[in-house]
Amino acid sequence: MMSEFITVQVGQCGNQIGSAFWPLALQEHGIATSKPVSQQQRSRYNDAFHSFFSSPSDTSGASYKSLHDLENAKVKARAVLIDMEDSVVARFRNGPLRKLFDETLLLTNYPGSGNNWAEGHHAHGSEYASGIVDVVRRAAERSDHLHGFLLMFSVGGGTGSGLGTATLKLLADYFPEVDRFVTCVYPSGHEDVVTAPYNVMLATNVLLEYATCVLPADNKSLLDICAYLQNRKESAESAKAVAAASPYEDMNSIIVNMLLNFTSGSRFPGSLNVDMSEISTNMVPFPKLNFLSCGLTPLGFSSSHILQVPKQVEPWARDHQLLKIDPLAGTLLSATLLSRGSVTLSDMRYNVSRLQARGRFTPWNQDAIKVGLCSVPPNGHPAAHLSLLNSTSLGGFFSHIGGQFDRMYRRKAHIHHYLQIDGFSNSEFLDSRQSLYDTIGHYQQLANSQDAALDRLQVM
Amino acid sequence: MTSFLKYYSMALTTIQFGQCGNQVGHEIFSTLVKDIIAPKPGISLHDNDEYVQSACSQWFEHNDGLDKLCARAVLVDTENKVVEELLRKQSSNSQWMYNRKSCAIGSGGAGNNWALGYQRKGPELLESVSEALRVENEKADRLAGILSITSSAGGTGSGVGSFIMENIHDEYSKKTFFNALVLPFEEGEVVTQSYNTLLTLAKVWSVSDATLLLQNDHLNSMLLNLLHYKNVGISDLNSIIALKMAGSFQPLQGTTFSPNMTVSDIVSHIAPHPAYKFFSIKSSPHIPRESKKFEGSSQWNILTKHMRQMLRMNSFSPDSVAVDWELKQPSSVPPSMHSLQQFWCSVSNLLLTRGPGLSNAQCKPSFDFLEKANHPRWVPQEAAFTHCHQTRRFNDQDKFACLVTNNSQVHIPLNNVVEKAWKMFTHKAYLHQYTKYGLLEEDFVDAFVKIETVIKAYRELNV
Ligand SMILES: Nc1nc2c(ncn2[C@@H]2O[C@H](COP(=O)(O)OP(=O)(O)OP(=O)(O)O)[C@@H](O)[C@H]2O)c(=O)[nH]1
Ligand SMILES: Nc1nc2c(ncn2[C@@H]2O[C@H](COP(=O)(O)OP(=O)(O)OP(=O)(O)O)[C@@H](O)[C@H]2O)c(=O)[nH]1
Ligand SMILES: [Mg+2]
Ligand SMILES: [Mg+2]
Repeated sequence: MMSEFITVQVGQCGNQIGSAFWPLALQEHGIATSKPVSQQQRSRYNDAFHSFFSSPSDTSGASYKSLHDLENAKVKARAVLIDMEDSVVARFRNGPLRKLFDETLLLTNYPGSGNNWAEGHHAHGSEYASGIVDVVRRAAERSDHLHGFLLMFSVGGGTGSGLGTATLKLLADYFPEVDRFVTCVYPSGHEDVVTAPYNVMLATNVLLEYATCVLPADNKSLLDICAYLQNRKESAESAKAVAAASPYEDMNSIIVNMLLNFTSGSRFPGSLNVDMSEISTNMVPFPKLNFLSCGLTPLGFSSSHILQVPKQVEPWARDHQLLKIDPLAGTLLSATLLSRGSVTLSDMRYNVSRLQARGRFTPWNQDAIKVGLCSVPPNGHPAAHLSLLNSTSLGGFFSHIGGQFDRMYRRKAHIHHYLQIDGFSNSEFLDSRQSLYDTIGHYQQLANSQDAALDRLQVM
Repeated sequence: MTSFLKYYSMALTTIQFGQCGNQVGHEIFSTLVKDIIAPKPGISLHDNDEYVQSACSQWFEHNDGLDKLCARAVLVDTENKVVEELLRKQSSNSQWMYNRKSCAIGSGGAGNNWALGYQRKGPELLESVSEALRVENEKADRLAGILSITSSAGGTGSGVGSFIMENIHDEYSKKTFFNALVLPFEEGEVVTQSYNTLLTLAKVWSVSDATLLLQNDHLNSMLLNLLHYKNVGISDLNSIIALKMAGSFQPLQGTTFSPNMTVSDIVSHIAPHPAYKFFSIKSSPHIPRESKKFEGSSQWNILTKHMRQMLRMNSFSPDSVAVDWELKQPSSVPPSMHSLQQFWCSVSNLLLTRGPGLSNAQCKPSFDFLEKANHPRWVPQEAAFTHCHQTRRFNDQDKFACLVTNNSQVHIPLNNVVEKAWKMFTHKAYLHQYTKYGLLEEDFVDAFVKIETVIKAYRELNV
């Protein structure tokens, strides 16, 4: 009966986020992958296990304690792995969790998309369309109450950006009733992908149109958060851990923590439950305004690097955002506060009034806040808070994307790589750009919207 | 005891919709059972047996074959977590239980979207809910009516609840059909709460005999200001709701000075006119969860005087509630009676008192007052106010009083809902979320018209 989710991991970045996701998801359900896991009361919530995992038998999640148990019971992650180069997916094939992934849900091919959105989207997109649909369908057949897809990919490269968004369109077509949540990574601007501005713009435009909600992260923000965590004197322990780990690993576990908090209400009980189906009703006031700025407290890489929960819970603060924007600088169209663990209704009311004091809400809804309380804390923390903000500051984020695109496109740099792909033409650049600027215009209009409500109805 | 004093045993079936409806319903049944098995009823064994019999057959399946009381309830939700959690809870608590077969559970939730609940999830669940309801009702000897419990802010309670109530209404048109509706915190809980609340209010207005409005803001203030809680949980709100409902709907008793009233009587008494169907329940005294005893006044006349103060309005700013007497402990200091004092105009008031030692004479000033209180001219004096009493101690308290009241104050929360919904509507915000499930803009307009009409009617009572 539990709502089920299928992750769709595309490209290098998407699959690397996935490889951070699965061990932590297992930990939330009391299954150790390397370090021991605090058992807490997780066994009470064994139904929740089926949200992310399928098993042929009817055994409840409670009976699984280790990877070995999972193997014996033929438990599989509800995950579809797509990459056009084999290397990352190959790591899954050989890693400690290899038995968790179903070979028939992997789709790979040599030799990548060469950082070219058009190649990923059009060339690979049309060649692999039926293969992708088959694989997703196979995964969907193993679920009884498929509620959503969680897509993960970067938008700077070619495969995640191009084929990931092509996959999104396919899901919208073939599974129109199933929500499509996308976590995508925006480049920091210092990478060596020169065509990133094209890829980012083209992908963003598909996301605006086809995703139910987008939970973007920005490598600039993730790097800053990592640096901030490393410099914290009181957490020397976690600084050491950061130095030892590879940078993407830490950055990705921040994204993963966000995803686990985001889905917690759909998986675990709570006195004010938030199912993921509620997110878009609450957060998307008009079509295409579906990007949400995500903020987290406490910030941390994984459960083993616990940081003190600050007294003032401010997941909406600028330096807690996974995107490099200050959401409170703009007008807030809507907000969601999700808390898990030991958080009472009064704590939540307090946070609501603080957010209301700090933020400027749109004149047509001064109380546009959705709250959720989930009773199961994240692994190793007493509590965690996630804020999702739909702010007109996102307009600035899109303007930046538009500006970067224009700078390159004005010089017609590298466009021949795109134009040579079948199915892509120059008008796709122009149409996408126009549509992005329309969205920017919409945000600007909403940022300045006045309370000019019509008089109420007069009844006799 | 003469025969006219006997209880009428009538059954009531409860439908719990969505997270709020189910959690509130669970707390109500727990409170009822606590009251039923309370060790010190303060009346004779024989009288207590009658009370227990009557209460049990009203709320529970009363079957000697069962070792536990089984709630006469149908549990409805569009996701399983809430109901699973309640069923899990009750397997350890052993005094009562739900009938597991009387659950109608969908999947995926209704997404805080009235249209999704009403247009999609409601039709999907209708058959299983009707069937479960029929099974529950067949177990009852005499069915008095149906009580539905929902919140207005989400998608399931509001949308599925509206759809189901609308569709089963005809089948039970001869029965009492009423509901308890929980209104959200005004300062934001669900972004689309004003739309969902507006649409729900309009539907329940059309199909139910009367609707009890419960405001989360107000319940929260009672806990913070009256009981001085530092930290309020959802279950604390529910325990107040449960006391109000049990205090009003547990069996009353005919006495020489007050009539017997069934739940159906209460509902038809409180909503005597089809234009005025929203009511609320004021109650006192409330006791913090830690302390066992209420240390305030122990006199009935003080408590009844306190209850009547709850009809006072803020004469300087009639659209706000500056002094809310439900947030104060009853005190022996007599309230000033100077001429500026004004009271909400009431369509109907019912004072229900529970506990030993009430003498009519002692409380006469309050009764007289309530009888003569502000009423519209078309309400006959004897219909405007009724007092009922039950000598048995309620919920292990010496005294408990509920004022079930249908008065013009209700236009304030209704007006706030319409004000906010109208703002969003004129900006067309969130409409695409509703129209994608087939709801039309005209449907919103119809709901606005309906509730504006109600607000106007209530507001005009006081001019
Ligand atoms: N946060 C994060 N960013 C990553 C990761 N891997 C790559 N990126 C970013 O993603 C962008 C490059 O996209 P990739 O995901 O490597 O490319 P791809 O989707 O595999 O596409 P092609 O390599 O062109 O076939 C750059 O902006 C990288 O900084 C990762 O694991 N975590
Ligand atoms: N008093 C009280 N209010 C509650 C409770 N649970 C939820 N609410 C309120 O109900 C509203 C949210 O509606 P829910 O009942 O959770 O929604 P639902 O009917 O399950 O509908 P969906 O979840 O949208 O499918 C908010 O205003 C909450 O404050 C409860 O146990 N007690
Ligand atoms: Mg690659
Ligand atoms: Mg719900």
